[in-house]
Amino acid sequence: MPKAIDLIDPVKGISAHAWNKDRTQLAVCPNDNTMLIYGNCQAADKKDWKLLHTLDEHDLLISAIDWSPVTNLIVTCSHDRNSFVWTFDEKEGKWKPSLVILRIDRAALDVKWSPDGKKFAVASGAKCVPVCYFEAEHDWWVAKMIKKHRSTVLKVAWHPNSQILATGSSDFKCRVFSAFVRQIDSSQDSLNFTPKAFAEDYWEAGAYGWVDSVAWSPSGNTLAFSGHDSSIQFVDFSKAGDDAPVESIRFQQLPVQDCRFVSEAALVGVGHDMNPLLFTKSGSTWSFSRKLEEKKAEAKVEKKATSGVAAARALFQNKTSKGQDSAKTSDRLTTTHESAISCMQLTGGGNFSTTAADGKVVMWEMNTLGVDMNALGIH
Amino acid sequence: MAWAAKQSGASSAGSGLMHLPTQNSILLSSLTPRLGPDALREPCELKVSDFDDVIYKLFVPPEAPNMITLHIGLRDWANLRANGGQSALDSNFPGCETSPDEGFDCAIVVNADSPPKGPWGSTGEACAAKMADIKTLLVGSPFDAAFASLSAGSSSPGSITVVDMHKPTAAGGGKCYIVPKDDRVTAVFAVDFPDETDRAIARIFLQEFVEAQRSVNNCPPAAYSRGHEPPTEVQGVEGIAEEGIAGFVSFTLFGDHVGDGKRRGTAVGMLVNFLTYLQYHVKATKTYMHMRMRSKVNGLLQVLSRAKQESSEVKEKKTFQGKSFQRA
Amino acid sequence: MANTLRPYLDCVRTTLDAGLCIRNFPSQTVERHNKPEIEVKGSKELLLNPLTICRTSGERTLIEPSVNSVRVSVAIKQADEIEEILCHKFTRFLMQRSEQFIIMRRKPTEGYDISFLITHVHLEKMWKHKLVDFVIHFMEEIDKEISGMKIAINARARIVANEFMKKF
Repeated sequence: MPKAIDLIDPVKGISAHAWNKDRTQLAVCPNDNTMLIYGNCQAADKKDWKLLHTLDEHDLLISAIDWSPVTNLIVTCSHDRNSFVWTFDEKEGKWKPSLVILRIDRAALDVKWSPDGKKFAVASGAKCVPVCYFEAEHDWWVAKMIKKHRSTVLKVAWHPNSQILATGSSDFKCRVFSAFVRQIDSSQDSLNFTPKAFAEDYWEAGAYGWVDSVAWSPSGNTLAFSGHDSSIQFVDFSKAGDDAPVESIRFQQLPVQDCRFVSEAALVGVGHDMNPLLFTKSGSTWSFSRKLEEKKAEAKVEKKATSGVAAARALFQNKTSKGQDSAKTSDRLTTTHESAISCMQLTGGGNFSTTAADGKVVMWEMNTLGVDMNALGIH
Repeated sequence: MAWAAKQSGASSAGSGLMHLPTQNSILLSSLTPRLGPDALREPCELKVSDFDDVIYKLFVPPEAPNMITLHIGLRDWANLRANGGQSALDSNFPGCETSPDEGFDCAIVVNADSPPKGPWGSTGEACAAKMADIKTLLVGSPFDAAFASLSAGSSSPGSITVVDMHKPTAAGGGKCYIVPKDDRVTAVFAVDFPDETDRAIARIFLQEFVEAQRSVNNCPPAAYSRGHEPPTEVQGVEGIAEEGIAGFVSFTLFGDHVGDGKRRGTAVGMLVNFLTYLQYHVKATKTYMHMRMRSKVNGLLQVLSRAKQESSEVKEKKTFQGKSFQRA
Repeated sequence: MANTLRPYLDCVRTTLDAGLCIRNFPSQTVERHNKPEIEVKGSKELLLNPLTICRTSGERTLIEPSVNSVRVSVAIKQADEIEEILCHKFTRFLMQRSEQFIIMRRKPTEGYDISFLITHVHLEKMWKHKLVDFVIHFMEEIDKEISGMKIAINARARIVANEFMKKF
């Protein structure tokens, strides 16, 4: 059973979320220009969660948040074209922002720390990807550009070696670039590709729709990207580079907006279906396995008003505004999420969390979802 | 004002809101106390308008509060006068005609102390009623004349009388053609409305007049035709094809429809008031449509608001004293 | 006829469900703007193929999806002059209230009687499935309402004509 926490008012919703290393704190954006940091998030009940910080340095909607487990830095990017790197000041107990000049003139849509925590990449509507690293001598974050996209870049994903970056774009393409920065990275690792300089592309492949999400498997051997045509592609880079085999799966459900590998042999895609989709590998072929949430146990109908007067008032309010006595069971969906899932984060051990415009944070624990953990290779 | 008075008059007459009275109720309410047993002698100057661009001015001078002058302005008086208007005036209000004020077409003056006697009766109240109904008398005079000849068997086929009933729209309309035959009189109305919606509704109405003859016994046969194909009775009349108007409707009255004076009077009144009656009901239909649409919009909005997510936050409200509280 | 209505509406429903897979997508052509791409049409690659679902030549629905917005246009059945006028009146009446209807466009797309514009903002504030329900309910109701009004006008006309004729 997924555990849902009604964190934010559904009228607002959540545009992005990220966890700290030990998952005791959660950073969320309530679909506006603020970032909220909650503490004590290991507690099961929302009442025990504590709102620690409200950070409103951005001008417009925060589109993505990433929290590096290595450096404990938070990076945010926003439709206002800027990024902030947030450092926690232990003495003052406050998060200090540091503005990053991204050198883009359109909105930023996604941000990801490299796994080693030394760089971060930003997807932008300026059809380019600034890759930023810290220059100690100037004490600021420097942005280097990856171009070559013909439309907005929707998602970025770092290879575990922190030197290769995959992007998904609304020009229907998924691309793999060299993000090797001499000043930061010691020796270049280029998988099975011939090494290339920063911003040069190693590989690209198309889908029949916008490439909404990209993800690398934990080992970095497999790349997955989802297309808006309800497809997902798996690319095996373990033995080949340029001519790596692409396996394409079309599924019946609505398209996926974000995806992550929960193990080397399993990927979860979340999106417009409101129900996470599990894809698994058996032998060397990938296939759609199942929806993770088979059926919600009981459709809940809120009973907010209990006292006589309030109940009567609610009744009349419903009558006038909706023409029905009370919210009907059929009004609610059978899934836990009631809006398209827009953001997904791994929470370790094959588990993950999701957020959507319905304001819920939902925790998915694989061993409670009736999946064969061994077959998925989750230990 | 006249409109409101007409409506309230219609409801008080006991016929619901179906028929409009032919009398002008404002005139009636001013005339009855003066001509009736109350014998009110007060000066008065009153201007009233009625349907079909008819205007009235009622004038009672302070120096002679028994002399009641009614000035009437009508469409096309010269034509009406030639086709029975003058004789109707002479026979109903003998010796009462006087010269009209500027802007009016004819006038009558009545001495309240000795009201005139006419075919309608001899009491002052009957006189007041007739005066309030003078529009029917004057505009209806060509109809009355045609019906009189029909009853007398002296109908003169071939002479079509055109009555300019109503202000025409850009496309035309507003006229009535009275076509006498040996055994019948056909009244052909060219009907139009300035508004496209009114016109479309009017067409439905006109067709229903044709249908009505099946369910109503002994009513005059009615026929409807579109503006570009006028009925045979009036084909050949100059400029008769009025393309774009709502249509022509014709009522054919036979001898027994106008057999006695009472039926003849009713028939004249109905025909004179026909365009007004039609317009009144077209407008009422539009009002009804609006009411329907309004309630449908509310229904649709309710369905839409079922889609709105509700805020989970409990709003904090402030009392007048500034204390805050949360509604349970 | 009635038995073809269900498949028509079902088809509109499924197409809408698939078409409404939209996201918050800030403009890539104008700085700091966020406009419905289906209206702006600034970048070809952000628009999907428009779909027309027809029941008859007069009765059809156009669904135009894009990355952050979907435009739904409905052509309503109009069998005769009075239906045309009633439809025009009714849709105008509705569009004057488009503010209350949130997703209604002030003007229909050319060739259609009424249009809706659904953006990602609407989906963030409303339940998608209920929004689709509304559009379908709307399509059902508008047909019913127009024929209902037509019948009512005919009934009124009959009474008015009969009452007039009875007086002679």
